[in-house]
Amino acid sequence: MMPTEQKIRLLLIDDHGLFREGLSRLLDAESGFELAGNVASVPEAIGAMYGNQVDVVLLDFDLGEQTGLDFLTFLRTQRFAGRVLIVTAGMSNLDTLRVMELGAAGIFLKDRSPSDLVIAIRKIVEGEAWLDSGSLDALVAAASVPKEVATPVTLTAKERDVLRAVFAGLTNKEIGTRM
Amino acid sequence: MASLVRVFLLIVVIAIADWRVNANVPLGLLYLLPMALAGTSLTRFQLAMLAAICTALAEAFDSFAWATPTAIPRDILYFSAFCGIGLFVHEARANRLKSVLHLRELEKEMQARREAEEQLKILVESSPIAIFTTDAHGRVLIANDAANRLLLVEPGQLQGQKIDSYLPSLMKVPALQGGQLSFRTVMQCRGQRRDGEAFIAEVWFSTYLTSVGPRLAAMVVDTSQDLRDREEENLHHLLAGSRILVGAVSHEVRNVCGAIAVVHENLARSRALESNKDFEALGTLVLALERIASLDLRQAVEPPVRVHLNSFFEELRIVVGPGLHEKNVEDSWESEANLPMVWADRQSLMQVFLNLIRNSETAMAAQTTRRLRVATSVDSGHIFVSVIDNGPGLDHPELLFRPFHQKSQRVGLGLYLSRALMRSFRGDLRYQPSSEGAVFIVQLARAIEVPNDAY
Repeated sequence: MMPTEQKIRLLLIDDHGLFREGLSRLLDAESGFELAGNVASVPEAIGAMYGNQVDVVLLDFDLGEQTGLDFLTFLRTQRFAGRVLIVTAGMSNLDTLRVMELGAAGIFLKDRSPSDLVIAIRKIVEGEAWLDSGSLDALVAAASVPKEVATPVTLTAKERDVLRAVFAGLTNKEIGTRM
Repeated sequence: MASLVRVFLLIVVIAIADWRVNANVPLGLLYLLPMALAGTSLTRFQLAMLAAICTALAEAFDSFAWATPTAIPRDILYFSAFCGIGLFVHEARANRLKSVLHLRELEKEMQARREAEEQLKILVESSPIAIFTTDAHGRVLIANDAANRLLLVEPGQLQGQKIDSYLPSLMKVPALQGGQLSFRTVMQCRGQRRDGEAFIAEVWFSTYLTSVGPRLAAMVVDTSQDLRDREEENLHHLLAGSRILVGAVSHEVRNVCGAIAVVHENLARSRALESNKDFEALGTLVLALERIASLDLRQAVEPPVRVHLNSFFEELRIVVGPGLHEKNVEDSWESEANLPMVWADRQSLMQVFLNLIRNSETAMAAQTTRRLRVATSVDSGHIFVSVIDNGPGLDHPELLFRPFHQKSQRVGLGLYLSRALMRSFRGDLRYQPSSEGAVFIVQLARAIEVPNDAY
């Protein structure tokens, strides 16, 4: 947990300039927050991490050529001790699962109120996770997809009957009638 | 050999008899027998020689005294008779042998024809394709079981019926009407079964002339199911593409809404517009727009399946090959013989490669020599396919995959869609800077191999 008197240093990574600038002003004006930098791409973000104390990374997922996954992977290799909040306009179920597996503390959707973002940052700094219901649904959906299993292709009894009928030269209609 | 021995024994016996019998009996005519026998086995020259020997023996042992004026004509007659009978038998036997051989040949040909007809009959009867022949008036002469099944006619009932009630377009074949030269072609037309149900018929037919007029032989396949499948597949891909596009628009709108919301929040905190109704309305409008753009349809993509890359590339080459050759593009395909299976949606993957190759064709249009190379490489988890052209390359590669960007080169949405499709099955598409031309890398996730997985 961060000491209350110490400001939370934030690194904002988003390729959308207008959003980045607006959010920078909003967070700069917020007490207890200090902006360590705002950058548009993964290489710039990697540069900003060196020689810079960062407590929370606000990371967009879609970053042009690269995605937030690339930066999360970098942070993992660097054993980053801070927290990462994904701030995105939307992600696939699988990507939602992957960012959480790579250590993101939460996912904040851009259609939420900006004041909620301030709450989300404080929550994750306190060690909690931030997930709205949509992200939770996405996590459940992605986790329920069966993993790749090398199961041989087998046919059911009915499929075998259909196959036999096809080999017997029956038309679709005849097969349908027979089934 | 045995017949030759018999011939010579007979000649010796006749010669001895002719020598011993002193009466005025002309036994020389008996030499006709060995000559006839020899005709079955000796050649013409050998027969002439033997006839000369027999003539000499007959002349030597007959009871006539040698007198040149009578002996020479007599010997000529002897020789002619002996040689003639020998040659006659020889020719008769040769002709008989020829006839036998010819007969055997005919029998063999008839047998072969019977077997071919039988095989053809089995082939036609067991064929799943409807096959029939008609006369010049369109009356069915013969039809197989598949034709009966296709047109829903009881077995044997199709013969004699006019085909125009089932396949009206066939009656418009000019060669059938005017007795012109035969021709063969394929056409797609509307067919109708006996119960009135319509179907799409693919008809391969040929006309031919016979002594009783022109005839038509046709093979018909019901392609209605193919049409249905194709249309459903097109709809599926249209919807999938639309979902990705609408998802992209929604995503971009949400990004802008997020930015506006942040700016709105900043202005609200400054209290400069605290009681401004328009400012409040702006906030409400942004919320409404966010709600409209809240649909993320990109979630609804089809689950990927295992795709065999080698067979996929064969199919791709069939699709793009003629177009490349038409545009004088030298294409080279460098891939291993047994590439691993990958996760993908086959149709979407085809769209991605078609988009890349069409872009390369456009980019190389101004080049004098056009080269396209498709190469694969494999690592433990991925297969990388490079699509490399020798076009002028790209000025703003960073804008390539951005949707709705004015500076996007080549096509606006194609690459964005292609990347979205690739990412939907755990792959990726990226541009690799190169000193010459353009290089696009298609990344595919390697699938677990399953025995006998032939897709």
